[in-house]
Amino acid sequence: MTSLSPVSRRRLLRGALAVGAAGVVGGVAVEAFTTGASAQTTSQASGEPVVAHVRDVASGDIDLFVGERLVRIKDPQLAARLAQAAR
Amino acid sequence: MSSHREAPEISQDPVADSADLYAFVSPDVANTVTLIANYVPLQSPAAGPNFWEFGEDVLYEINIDNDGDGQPNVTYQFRFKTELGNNNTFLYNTGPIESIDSKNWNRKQFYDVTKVVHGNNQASAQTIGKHLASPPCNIGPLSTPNYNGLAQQAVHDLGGGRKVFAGQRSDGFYVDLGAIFDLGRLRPFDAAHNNFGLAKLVNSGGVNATKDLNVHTIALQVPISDLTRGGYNAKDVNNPAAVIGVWTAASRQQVKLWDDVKRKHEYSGPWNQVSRLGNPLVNEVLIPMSRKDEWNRSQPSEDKNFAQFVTKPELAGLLPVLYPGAFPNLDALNKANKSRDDLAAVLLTGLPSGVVNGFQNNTGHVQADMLRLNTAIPPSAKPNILGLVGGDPAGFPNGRRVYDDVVSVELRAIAGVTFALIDKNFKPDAVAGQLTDGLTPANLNIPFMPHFPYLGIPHDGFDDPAK
Repeated sequence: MTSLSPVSRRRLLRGALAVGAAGVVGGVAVEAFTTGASAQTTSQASGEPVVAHVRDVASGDIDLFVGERLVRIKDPQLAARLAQAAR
Repeated sequence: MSSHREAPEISQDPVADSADLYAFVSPDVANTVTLIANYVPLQSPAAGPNFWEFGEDVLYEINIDNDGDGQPNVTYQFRFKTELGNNNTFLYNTGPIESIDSKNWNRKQFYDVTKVVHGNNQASAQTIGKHLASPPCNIGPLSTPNYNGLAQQAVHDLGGGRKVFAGQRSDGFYVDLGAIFDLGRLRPFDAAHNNFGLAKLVNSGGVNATKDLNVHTIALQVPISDLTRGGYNAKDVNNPAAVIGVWTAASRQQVKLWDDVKRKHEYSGPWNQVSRLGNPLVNEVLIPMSRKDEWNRSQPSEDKNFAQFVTKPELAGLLPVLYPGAFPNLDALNKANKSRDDLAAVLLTGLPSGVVNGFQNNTGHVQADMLRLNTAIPPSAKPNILGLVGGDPAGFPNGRRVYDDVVSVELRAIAGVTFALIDKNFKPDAVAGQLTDGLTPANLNIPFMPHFPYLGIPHDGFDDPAK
């Protein structure tokens, strides 16, 4: 099995999250939404998918795409949980 | 080509690829301006069963700046939806399409038009057209027996003298693409080309690469007062309020993902610009390949970042090399390392009063690639396809009419013809004023129309399959 460098593993992880998180992140990220973001009511009420792009696991920089909006949050714990879930 | 496939990324995304932009005072409807933005370039007419269409996932915009800051004051937005009438056929149409609401036509497109007026701190949006029908593509004599009639049904009255059309047209941009990108050849001047030590070339006429191809057009005709600062609509050519700057843009949402449950793409996030077009050939010919994608994503107000490629155009340096001995004065100008402020004026700020007698289309000091139109200049009774350099101030670079020979105009300008406007001591080379790729509107297979939407009816797939 080919081993991936740390950089390429991180890129792969980011890609996997961006592609696979729709409909999943809505459940995982409730805590983060309720503590920080203001967009969840609209997005969840309208049933739109939410796409998360974990820009950097260590810093917790996450971009959430919903409807025609971008919600940018910083939540290291959530980023770590998503990274763990994606392993 | 004007802007067909001009940058690496947009060349992979035809439905969002802005190909040509036109803006002119309508010759047949007083006190109106016509704006035309073409997308989905280089269409082969025989394209069944899935004929060409606008992108449902693309936000198309035509922007107008009327205060010279390179940012829009008025934006017209266009969003398309596709509707399938018959789920049980593989066919685009199941019989002749004789009206725009024909039940024989299976796959229709409709669109909404939104006008956005940008204020200092806020914008107001108004839907001015809803669920408007596009015409079908021109398929052939059995499927679309009266295409012109169909297309006219797709010209929609928006009220107040405003009208809109969105659908397939013949590509009216004539250009010898095959020669120009074969190392800068111009067939009428081939014998003078350095030919890189290969077989000697001989002069010949130009070959129009688009003569059998179609494009998708968004055309809008509105009162001049809808676009100008303070609704200016008078005849004082020197009034700055008479000048507008126009560009078109296409945007995509930031995220596109394949939903393997729904088995279709999903889109989310803000709209991000992926294509833009103001003056013809700027991104195509002036901006280096390494920065073309960046240019497409930026705004006209940021164009000072690209001004170096206008004031030191690569092509001006190439002409004396490709045509040895033909451009001694241009060569000397290049070697003197003089800034091409003439090109910056034409393309980035507009020409101020006093450069060309009785003409100006200046928008101030902000360098922005916009198609600038002085709306106080009336349509010409005897148009010259060379526009301003041909003594016709109603043509390019005062806006752009469908028939303007922008390739020859820009070749001549880059070769130094316009430098003489700002430096009376500079004498353009004799050949500079004759440069052309050898084409005129006579090299189109389908003529322009004398009325809205002005571009000719599209080639049909039966009579004009790919040649």
